[in-house]
Amino acid sequence: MSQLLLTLLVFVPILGTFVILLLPDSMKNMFGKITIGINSFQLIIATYIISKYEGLHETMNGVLSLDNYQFLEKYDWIQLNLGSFGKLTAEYLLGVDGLSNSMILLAAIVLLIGAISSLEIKRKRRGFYALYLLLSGTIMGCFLALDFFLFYLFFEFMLLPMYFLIGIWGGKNSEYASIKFFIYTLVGSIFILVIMIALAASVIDPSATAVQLGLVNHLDQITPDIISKVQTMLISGEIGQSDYVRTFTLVHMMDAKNYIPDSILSLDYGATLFGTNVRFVAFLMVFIGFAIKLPVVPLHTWLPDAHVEAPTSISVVLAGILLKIGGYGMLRIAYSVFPDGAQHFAWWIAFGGVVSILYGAFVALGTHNLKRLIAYSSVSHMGFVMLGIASLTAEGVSGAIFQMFSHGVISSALFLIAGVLYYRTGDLEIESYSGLSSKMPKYTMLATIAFFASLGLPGFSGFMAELFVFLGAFNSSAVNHLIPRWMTVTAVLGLVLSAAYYLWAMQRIFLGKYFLKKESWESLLKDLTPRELLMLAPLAIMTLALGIYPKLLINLIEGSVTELVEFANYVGADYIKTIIGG
Amino acid sequence: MNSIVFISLLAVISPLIGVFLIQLIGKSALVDKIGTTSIGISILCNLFMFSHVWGGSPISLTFDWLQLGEHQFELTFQWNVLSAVILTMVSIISMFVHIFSSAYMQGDPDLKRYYSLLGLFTFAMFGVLISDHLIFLYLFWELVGFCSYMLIGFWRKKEAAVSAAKKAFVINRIGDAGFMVALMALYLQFNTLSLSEIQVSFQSIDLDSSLLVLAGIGVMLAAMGKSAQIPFAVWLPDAMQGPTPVSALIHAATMVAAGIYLLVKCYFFLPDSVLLCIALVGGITAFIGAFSALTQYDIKRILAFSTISQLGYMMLSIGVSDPSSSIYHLITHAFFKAGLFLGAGAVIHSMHQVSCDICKGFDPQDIRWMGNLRKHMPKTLIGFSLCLAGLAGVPFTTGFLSKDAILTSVLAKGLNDGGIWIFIMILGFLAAALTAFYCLRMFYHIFLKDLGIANHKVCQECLVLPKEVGTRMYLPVMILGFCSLWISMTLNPFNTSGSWLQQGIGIPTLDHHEYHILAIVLSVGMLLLGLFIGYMIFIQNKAQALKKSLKVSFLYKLSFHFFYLDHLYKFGAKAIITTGERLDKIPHADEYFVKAAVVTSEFIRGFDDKVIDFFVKCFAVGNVVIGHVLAWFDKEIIDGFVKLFTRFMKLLGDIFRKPQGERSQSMIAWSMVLIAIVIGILI
Repeated sequence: MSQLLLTLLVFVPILGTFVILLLPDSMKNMFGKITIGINSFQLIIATYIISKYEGLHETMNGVLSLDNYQFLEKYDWIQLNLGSFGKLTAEYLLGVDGLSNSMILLAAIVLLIGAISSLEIKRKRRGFYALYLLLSGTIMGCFLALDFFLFYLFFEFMLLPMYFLIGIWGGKNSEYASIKFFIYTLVGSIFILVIMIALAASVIDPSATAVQLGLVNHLDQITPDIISKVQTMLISGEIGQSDYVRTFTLVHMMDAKNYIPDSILSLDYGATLFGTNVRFVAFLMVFIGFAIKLPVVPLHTWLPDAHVEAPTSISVVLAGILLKIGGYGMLRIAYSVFPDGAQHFAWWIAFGGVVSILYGAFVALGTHNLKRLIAYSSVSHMGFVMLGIASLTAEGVSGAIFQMFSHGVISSALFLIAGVLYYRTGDLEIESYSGLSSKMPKYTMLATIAFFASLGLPGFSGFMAELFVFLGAFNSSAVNHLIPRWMTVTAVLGLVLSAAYYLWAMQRIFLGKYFLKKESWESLLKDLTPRELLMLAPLAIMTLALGIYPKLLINLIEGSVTELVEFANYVGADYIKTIIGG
Repeated sequence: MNSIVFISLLAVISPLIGVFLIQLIGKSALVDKIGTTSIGISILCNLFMFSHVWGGSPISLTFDWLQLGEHQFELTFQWNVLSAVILTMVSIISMFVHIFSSAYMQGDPDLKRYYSLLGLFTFAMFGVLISDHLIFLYLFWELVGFCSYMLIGFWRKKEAAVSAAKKAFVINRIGDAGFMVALMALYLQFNTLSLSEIQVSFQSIDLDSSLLVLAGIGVMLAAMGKSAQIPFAVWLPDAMQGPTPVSALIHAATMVAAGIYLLVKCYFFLPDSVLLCIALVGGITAFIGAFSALTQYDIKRILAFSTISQLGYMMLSIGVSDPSSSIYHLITHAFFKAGLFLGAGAVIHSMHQVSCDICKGFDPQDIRWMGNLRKHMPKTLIGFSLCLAGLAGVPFTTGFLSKDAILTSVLAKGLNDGGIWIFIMILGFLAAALTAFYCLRMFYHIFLKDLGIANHKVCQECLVLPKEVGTRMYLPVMILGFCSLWISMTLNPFNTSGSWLQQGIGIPTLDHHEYHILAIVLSVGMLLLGLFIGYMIFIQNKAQALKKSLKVSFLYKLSFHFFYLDHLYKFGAKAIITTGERLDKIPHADEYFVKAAVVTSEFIRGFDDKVIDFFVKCFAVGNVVIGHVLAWFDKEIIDGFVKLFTRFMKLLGDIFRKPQGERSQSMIAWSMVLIAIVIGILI
């Protein structure tokens, strides 16, 4: 059973898609319940995985070696014989480590809350829930896949339902927004695709190659000696091209010894593109692919549009979990496979982070639409993720993952808050309301919690995340000299701006004299329903718990983060030496 | 040890438990009692703790909190004499404010929220005082700011209060950003954020002076925000929009002192350059605060500016390397200023009942409408005037002692080091004279002159004479007033460096015996100068011409508008918001890009419609045509054949039938013949 957990996590929702498509129309009212049921099932499994995850075990941290991943599922999937070019394999490879465990839990939580929220959907329910379940499965797949090809498949398949969910069930201008979303993400995917192909052309699977060469009869007999023997043979050119077993497995791509000599992405190839080493260019392309998803200024403009047009539940999923795939992808793929590029571009990445933090906050201060404001605050908060990742310190990267989790929780709450108003009146202009606190006290209280959590009030998770990012980024100036001090100090201004835009919005919507733009809203604006409370309260409790006791999350991720950080620092520096030296 | 740990924790947590109880029970009749009781428990525990650590060793409590990379974060809470003194002070003042509020806030519909926030604030303030780990200090530091935000904006429908709350929080955030920078710098330098650990390694490791300066400036900014120093002081006068007891607790006695407390705690690593900045900021704030208090008419605003000015003194004291006097002044100021605010609350409370609806423009907080309250509110007068004497620095008050301790150090620094220190020294002494002046002005307006409202044509008609407030309101003021007498600190009213407090705190004081007498003479001289000018202007009514010309002068405006700092901030905020709006509206380049894509896709759809559809249509039409042709062919040709064939067969049949006639036998015979022929052909 435990061998199948991850597969269940991914494929039960996808199965659900077909179930919903096949059910008769008479069961229309069941679609929502089925979806909630399946997402609850996902949450149960995700919680089980987290509870069984051994965070402090040194050899269970994943990242570098397949044996160290937990709940690993590995099956042969695609094997393509390329004749004289050897073999090409893609594996069905799912696993959990400290980079992905928190994201799985977050995804399960956010998807369930999104499902509950989507009960508000009235049109074309069959299609909505079918697509929603497809999304639920593919998102999980993204976080679990350890094979680049498998990851890419899930990554692309996630795009499709999202496009329709925004386009069909969105607001007035949703066609434009969804096309924009589609184009941006597609461009990113193409970047990633190109590099994926280049990597597959450059990397071999040493164990499978050993079998191919006849060094051993079966994969079970592989020992580290044999692997290093194959790697030595590879470097000395003793392996013929037709014996290469090319692979998409990420772990193999992280080891320089698995690169075919003189292949395009090997360290010694030394070709340049636009005056930069190909490996650096490759890093940049993968990075930009994920940066679009994160999003990073100036690649962010799809986000506010998509948010404003998307229905509440899709906004929740979009901000709560989809953006995190960007950050996760950076760590899992860009930083793991190209630690050299990560160091080479650290300055620019950190700069992008700082610009995102400040730019997002500036625009949030100037915008008049509540959802747009929250969207820009997301841009600002994702800047912290960039800054933390760029620092390549344990504090910074932990802070980045912490920020992703925390933002997932808080932004879900924020979009639900916006959804409460939108569901009642369909208007999200900040100036349309004033003094709601007297009419909707519960709503005001939860909005206050969400706003203050998001502006980084200590005691809420957002603060801890930002604190760790700041400490890490500043430490980086002494530990690995990647980020200059002034940059981190500048980023601190974000604290002031975020307080300003949230409190100003708070003042305009909830405080002051009671006022509504249209009198007819008077009867519509009722305080929170039990269903809305049920969605918001757990989120509030979660952000509070993590803010006071961050150990809950840090213990899960810390081992893997340390491993990745050490790898990226030392190995990355070695790679750079080889590249520059060669 | 265990029982002590328990008591120390109980002291801190008791207000928080109170908050939970208030939220759970929520009956408005009980909330004030629950709140007061929980603070009462805190006072008892804090007094016990105080007696325990006094002269004994500090108590600390450590929790394992977090492990990140190779860094261990251990939470330490510490009770030493310094924190125990302030803890006791905070709990006592919080108690008075609770008691005062139970009368002052009577009848407010939102008492549950009010007392919850007061309790939460007290808890957070305790947290600031006992945290040794800077992360937790920061946590409580901002929580205090959050409570302040909620309490300033307590009356949510009052627009001015709501914007004041936002302003307070955002401006404090600037300081907090500085705090964050300090955290980063200290973490990099010492690999820990526990102050006691930093203190230990401070002596032993090589230090990067630029990091220390950065940390120092960061901490200074934090203190400047919380303790309302120029140029961040603008939030404090506006914060007076909150309920008056809140102003007494948060914006006079406790929270605003947190900045000073932080600086004293971090004093050991502050480099000289940062100390000079602190002294400069403090001196300027002391002067400008006092200068702005000169012209205000709102009683709470005057007190707010006086708070700014007094906080400036505390900063100044740290800047001249005398943190001990700073803490001394912090404590004495807390008592007399809380007393003044509660006294002001009492005055406002009874002024509220003086007027009626037809009296337009009446403001119960405006001192011009007040007057002659010495007759109407004699009990409040006693407490208020004692506190006011403390503020002005009249001898035989604690305020005199602590201010003089500061001025002695300032004088010593100025005379020893010269240069800019002389300027700072002059600011310090001038502020003392201004303080005396505005204290007298306030006293004259509230208690001495005739009742202002009685001189108003309309208002005097419905005038009800002000009445003394209830016991729960004047008693706290009176007690705080008596606490401001010198006897509570030292037996000798002119011994500015020998109070039990300074000796017990354990921060080494600089002893400037040689400047002691000079400082007393100078400060008393300044006091007398201020009082004399005030006496001439207000009581003797001399120098009217001068007064009139001053009122239209630029200096007056400068004072009244607090040096136009507010305008500066408004301008800045507006610029930022406009930038944001512009950025939000810039048609992003990608918009064209996406539109191009949409247009392309539409074109392709058009192409789809026109070209491909055309072919499809052609194909369909062709099909139809062919179909018709085929149908015709079918009908005319194939059918024709069939018909032809049947006709032919019929013809054949007819031919053969004729000879048969009616005879069936021959018919069978013919049939047989025919079949035989057919078979024959087939074979």
